[in-house]
Amino acid sequence: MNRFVLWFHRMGSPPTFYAFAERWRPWFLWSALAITAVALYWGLARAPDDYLQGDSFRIIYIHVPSAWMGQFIFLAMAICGFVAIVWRIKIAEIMGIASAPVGAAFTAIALATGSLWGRPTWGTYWVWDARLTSTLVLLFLYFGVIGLYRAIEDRRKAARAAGLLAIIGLVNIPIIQYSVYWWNTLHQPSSIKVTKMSSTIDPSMLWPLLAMAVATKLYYAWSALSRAQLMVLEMESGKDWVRELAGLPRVASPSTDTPREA
Amino acid sequence: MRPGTPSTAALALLRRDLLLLWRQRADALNPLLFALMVATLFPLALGPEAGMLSRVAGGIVWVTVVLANLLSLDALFRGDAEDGSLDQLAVSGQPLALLAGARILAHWLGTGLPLTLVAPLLAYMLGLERAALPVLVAALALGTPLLSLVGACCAALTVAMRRSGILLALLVLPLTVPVLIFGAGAVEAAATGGDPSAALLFLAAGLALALPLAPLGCAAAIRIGTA
Amino acid sequence: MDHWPFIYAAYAVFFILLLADAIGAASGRRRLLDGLRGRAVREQRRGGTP
Repeated sequence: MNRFVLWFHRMGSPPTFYAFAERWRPWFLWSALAITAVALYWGLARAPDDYLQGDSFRIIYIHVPSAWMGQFIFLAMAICGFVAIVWRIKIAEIMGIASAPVGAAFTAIALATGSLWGRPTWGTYWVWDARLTSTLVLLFLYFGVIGLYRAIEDRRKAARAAGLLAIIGLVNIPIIQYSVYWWNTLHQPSSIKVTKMSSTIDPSMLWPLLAMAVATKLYYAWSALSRAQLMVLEMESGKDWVRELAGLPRVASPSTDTPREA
Repeated sequence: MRPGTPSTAALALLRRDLLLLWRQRADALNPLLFALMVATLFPLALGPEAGMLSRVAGGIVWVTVVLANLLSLDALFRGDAEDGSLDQLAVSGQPLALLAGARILAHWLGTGLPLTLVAPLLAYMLGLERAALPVLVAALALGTPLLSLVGACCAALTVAMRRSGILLALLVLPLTVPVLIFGAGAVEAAATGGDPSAALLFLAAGLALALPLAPLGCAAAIRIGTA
Repeated sequence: MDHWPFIYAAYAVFFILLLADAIGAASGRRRLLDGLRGRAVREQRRGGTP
């Protein structure tokens, strides 16, 4: 069997997944912090002023990666949801839900930093244009997913229902991406335009941005794996391997075939 | 028509839902009355200045329709879930998506369509530009089925919960935002002398996408809840 | 206009929200394991099968 596929199958087992997460978590966190430190130092202290916007463009290093992550994580939730619904894999259910809080945090950051960037640059904290509105809708969708999960009693059903909601809400992602093109056909062009990031961005600005994109992904991995571990422990709390982790003696349980020595 | 085929099953479900609706037609009027009330609240709150009101009339009608649609959504699957009929539908061997589609059609016929027909009256009360009235009806004719389709998916998701009330609204409203934007945008374009066809085409595209997919989503949600 | 207050505010929002998320992700573990231990001890005292 393909090694990758084999790895996937192994990850479906809660104790294997837990061990994997336990081993890799620290690496994700520390590398995220390290890259952030280097990227922000370079972006804040070293890159030259933008000739048009002055210093406020520096917010780009946290605003754009956060916006990307908000959408990326929602897509990840939808994929986990799909796997959870079709194959009923526990870990897929868990990873979907574990991703939701980080995703909401990044989306909220994108909205807040965008607002703080807009004030000095375009004179206003908020404008009801396509991209801002649909990003706000994305935040509400995150709250909906989290709220739905918390409202249903059966944890596995709750995770699958929330996953299905994420799949339905996926339609919002293309709207965020392309609405900036559609909007002008519906409304009169506004005097304040949210310009798409031009690809003719100076390299000294580009590298910190790309580095932050990597760093935020690493942080997402740490956060989602940590939450997933907690959920796995709760879900499997009756099992032997969890009891061992909690420092309790192993006992014969219905889930094992033979009783073990106490 | 042979008994036991998917189409007979779907039609039987549709007939039953419409019959139930007819038997409680006083209740079925609730969304309409709600829409009338809400549309009346806006001029009371904003002041009757004619020019200002007619500018926002299209938007007010759309918001009203979205909210009124919400009212009848919670009950869409709840009654059947409580007495076990939903489980029966799920194991009946008939395609659940088709049955869900029949339920959604009944919902639209009972809520969305009446709202669409009443909307010109509301718009007239609020002083919408005459030229925009046909566009309003067209946009609602495309948009209310969309609202029913998307709303039904969310109703199916929350059917597993005891008192879903406000959560259902929180789930549905973000998903209705694109419909609202394009629908109200079409009316706005028509009212200001622009071209509404782009917005209407987007609505039509959304409907074309939702018609096959939403019943599938509904069925998946029902199976999750009753599994 | 001086942009730096906005820049500080934006970075503050970034770090504060992610810190809140990090605390949420990391904090539950000890409570959870203690809870499991507590439950097991209580069951053992009652004499039922743990």
